[in-house]
Amino acid sequence: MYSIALCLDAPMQSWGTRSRGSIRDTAREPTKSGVVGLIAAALGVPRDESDCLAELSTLRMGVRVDREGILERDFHVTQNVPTTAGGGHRTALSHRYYLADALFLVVLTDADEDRLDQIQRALRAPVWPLFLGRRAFPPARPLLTNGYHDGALTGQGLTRQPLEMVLATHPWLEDRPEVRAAERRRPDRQPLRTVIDCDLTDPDAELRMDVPKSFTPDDRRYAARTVRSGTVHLTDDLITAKDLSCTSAS
Amino acid sequence: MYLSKLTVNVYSRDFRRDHADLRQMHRTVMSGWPDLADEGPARQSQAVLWRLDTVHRGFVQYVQSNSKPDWSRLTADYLTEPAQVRSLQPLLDAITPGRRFAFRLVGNPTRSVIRPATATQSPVEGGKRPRGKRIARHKPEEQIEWLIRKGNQHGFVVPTAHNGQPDVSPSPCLPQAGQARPGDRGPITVMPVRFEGHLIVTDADAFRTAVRQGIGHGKAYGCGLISLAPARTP
Repeated sequence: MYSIALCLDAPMQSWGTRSRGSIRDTAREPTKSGVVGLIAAALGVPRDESDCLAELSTLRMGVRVDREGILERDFHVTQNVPTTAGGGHRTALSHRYYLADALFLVVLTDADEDRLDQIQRALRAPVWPLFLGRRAFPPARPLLTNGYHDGALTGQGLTRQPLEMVLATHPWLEDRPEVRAAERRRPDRQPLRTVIDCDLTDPDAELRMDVPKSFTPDDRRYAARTVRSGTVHLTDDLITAKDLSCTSAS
Repeated sequence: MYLSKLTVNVYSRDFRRDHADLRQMHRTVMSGWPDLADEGPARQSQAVLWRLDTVHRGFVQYVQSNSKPDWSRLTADYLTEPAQVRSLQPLLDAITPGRRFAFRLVGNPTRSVIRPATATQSPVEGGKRPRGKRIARHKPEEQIEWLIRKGNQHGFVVPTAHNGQPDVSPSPCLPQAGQARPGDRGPITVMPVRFEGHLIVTDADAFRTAVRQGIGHGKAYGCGLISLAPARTP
């Protein structure tokens, strides 16, 4: 089994699951449709190629919440929106929810190494710009290590491990030194929350309607998937790994 | 009665967890009373109420309780300033009939809807009505109506403003949720509404009880705490 680990960090992220009208909600962690869209943008897959999107949706996904975001709302005004009747314009008001300052480790897994390698290369040299949920929310740091900054706290890309293993062993992505230091001193650490794709028959399965069937603008359709919430321990290794800030200077 | 003012550190990992999960926030607030007996509802015994207010950058959390809390159990980086605790007795003494206050309240305006299937069933023995499903009220006029109804129960009225409308403005808060844990009946969801405006006390004893105990549902989850200030003279 091969996995690819990505770091999703941005001042603002938005992962809507059910909004269509003027209230645009966000989930507490990245959605499958959002991540599939991100990869599709990197690969240069147009919106109407549903087959290609369906293929991307078959990747198993797991998310680790490395920093909970703070839920915020924007009151958004769009002026001069053409009316559907065709005569004149109107002002559209919407409430847009987003996560401020959230940080996620997203792991995608598959048996086919070449396929993941192709995704990895595409994310390093994306065809279209990458953004986290909304066009205005670009990533704050690289999704993957690019080899130039070996000690950087970011996604480690392709590994030979299964998904659960990567979630449990990938270095913590938190980049505020004071938060890392405070956490290292603490004996009783809070575990990191995880949300992993699971089997439908799992007793703890929760339903999420966020598997994209079609991204065509006038025909957006989503299918269901089941996820299981869990936690992984924030061990000393996760905190100290790749944290070269204190060792490199000496 | 005591009121604590906690200036929270938004970069604290514990605050982030609490902000994302009402159940965790409830636990953190209740950690201010480490010596409570195990039996009985702990929040009610101390009449603990809390409210999270947004300030310039970050949040201030107000916590009200019967006895003096001990905030030393919060993790070292939870607060940016030491917790301030003061007595509410002067405020409770100032509540007299006819007194006008400016108030702030995060309430949980809901109504209870009995599903048709349950409503048609014969009432349970003992004359109890079937329990309905609680539904949030979304329209501002319904929310004001909820507040006025609460005023009838708790001894206050909302005066009329210059425009002839009730002198209160309801503004929606972000929907709050708590994760379901094993053994829980399900996730918690609360759609709080922030009320800001003026009120006039009609029944001092009833209103004093409401200030002590909080009003409405969701008191464990950041709703029901009434803050009072001297009214601005019109």
